[in-house]
Amino acid sequence: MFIERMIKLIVVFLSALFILYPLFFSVVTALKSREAYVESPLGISLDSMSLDNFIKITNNFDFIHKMGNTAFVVITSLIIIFAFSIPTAFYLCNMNNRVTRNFLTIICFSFMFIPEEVLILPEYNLMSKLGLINNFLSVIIIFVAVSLPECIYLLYMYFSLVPNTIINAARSDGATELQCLKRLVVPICKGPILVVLFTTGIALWNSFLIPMLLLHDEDKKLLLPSLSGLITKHSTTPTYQMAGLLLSMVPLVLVYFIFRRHIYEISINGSMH
Amino acid sequence: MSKVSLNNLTKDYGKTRALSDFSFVSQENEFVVVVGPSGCGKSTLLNLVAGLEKPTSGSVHVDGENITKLQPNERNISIVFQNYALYPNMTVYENLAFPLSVRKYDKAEIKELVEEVAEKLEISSYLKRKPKTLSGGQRQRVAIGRAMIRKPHVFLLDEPLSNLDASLREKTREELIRLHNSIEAVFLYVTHDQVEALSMADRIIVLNEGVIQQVGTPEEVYYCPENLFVAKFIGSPKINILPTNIYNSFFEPINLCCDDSLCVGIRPENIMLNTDNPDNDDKNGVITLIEMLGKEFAVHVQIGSYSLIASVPAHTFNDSFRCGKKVQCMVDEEKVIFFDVESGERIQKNSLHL
Repeated sequence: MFIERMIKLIVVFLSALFILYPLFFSVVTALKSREAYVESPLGISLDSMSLDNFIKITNNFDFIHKMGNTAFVVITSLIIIFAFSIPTAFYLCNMNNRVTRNFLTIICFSFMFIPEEVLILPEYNLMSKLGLINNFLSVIIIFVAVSLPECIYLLYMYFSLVPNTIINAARSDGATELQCLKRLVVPICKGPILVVLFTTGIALWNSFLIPMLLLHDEDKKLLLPSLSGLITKHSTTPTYQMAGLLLSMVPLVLVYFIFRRHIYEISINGSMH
Repeated sequence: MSKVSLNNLTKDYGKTRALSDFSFVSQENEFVVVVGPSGCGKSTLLNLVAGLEKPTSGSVHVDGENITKLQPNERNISIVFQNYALYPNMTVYENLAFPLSVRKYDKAEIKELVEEVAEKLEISSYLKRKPKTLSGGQRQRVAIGRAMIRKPHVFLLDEPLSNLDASLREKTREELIRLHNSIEAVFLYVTHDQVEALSMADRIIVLNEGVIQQVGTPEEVYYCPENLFVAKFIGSPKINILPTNIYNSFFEPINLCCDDSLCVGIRPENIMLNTDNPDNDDKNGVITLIEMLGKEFAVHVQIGSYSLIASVPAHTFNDSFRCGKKVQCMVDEEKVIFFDVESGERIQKNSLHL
């Protein structure tokens, strides 16, 4: 018993360590002055801690504007992604022809494994030919294209958990396919949809390579690429950058806390015997 | 006033034929029960009528209108599923209102209709609750309420009682009959339970392996089964099927009944057992098992290599019936049914030149 408990404790402790170490490093670094960081990157001394970095970055760096850019691009992409993936996933669920359905889902599934970096050059070429460099649209198009297969696949998996009889009942009650989707499938799968929405949102928010290549103008730049630029522009120590990174996480954390309650909600309990 | 007619409905799933050439015309507002063992195609039939599946061939008409090509939401047909299929994200009120709200009814009108139906089904007190907080019987009522709220022409019920416990089942059965009497719609009720079929139906369709075996009133199906399948499927305890030679050696022989191509069917309640003459006659059977069924006793009697069941009404049952006892079996000749062994078809008695 004792040994078992110790093992559990050690496992929990180690996983906590793995998760908390980067966060700890960022927080400690962000609170330090440059000099203190150079002296001892991991050291903690309460006297030298200050919020200077946070103040400096919001004052000097046009932080809010860049965050606004990112928010605009991410939210627009998410809206487009979900406007397409939810109906598509529902349609896949209701497809009677099993061969076509499996073929389409396998296509979606396999697209999830194409590494983003491989497509960078052709994407850049395409966008420059379309004249969309320095245009938010280019990033939005690529964000949508990259996320759509994964979202469709995941939503398809969740939607197919909704018992078919419920949908059939709605159909014979007079509901159109769109009403079935809007009034049953989406509310029932609210939790999974929010999870997919949230994880996709995080991935896009933190996306780095694509926006860095496609948006160069200072006032068009997204948050993450410009934060990475700081290290060469202003200093060689990451204190300043860490403060920015931590600040960039704030909206994500806020969104998470708003939706946290709904994320756990998936229940078809009580509908069937 | 509603009428359903189904013309040569056939449904294939790949190579298997689930329903074969199903034709049936209902009377106005008739209560039709489709009964058969599981896998006989009865759920397929409901899906075809509801439009949830398309027939391979054949057509569905309601009130003279061909609705074969219409989508389920364009048909005025309600369906109650075996597992209720309530909408888990909605309250009871919203569940009941759903068929109306998807048709864009006025809010006030919806409220009025929902309250009316809720009152009729005695579910007014939990309109605000979600389905998961309801008991099986309450869910069942909500499902029925949701089906009846828009006053459909056809009511489809897919084994609606099979998930209820025995006492609730009997009560709901009664209520469904009342409901049918109070609204003008054809009921197409699917079940594997022959007791439900006999007790509820105006007419019964007996289905086996996708083929209609018999269509008739409960009396017709019970007393004049058209073939061995119907005879064996309808009635509990089961009908006794005996070869003619066994029949002749244990019962009073029927003169012309010694044809090997025939077999006889006798309902358990038509067999009378005589325990008064316990002589060692070869013609006597031996009681092997007695089951108490409430108003009657099912007495299993071994005659030769066959075991038959006789129903003995409780008021005539006495101590003389016990296992191992020799009894004499008697039957009213009028009530004996003849079947052809090969085809399983019933043979008319007058064609037997008795």
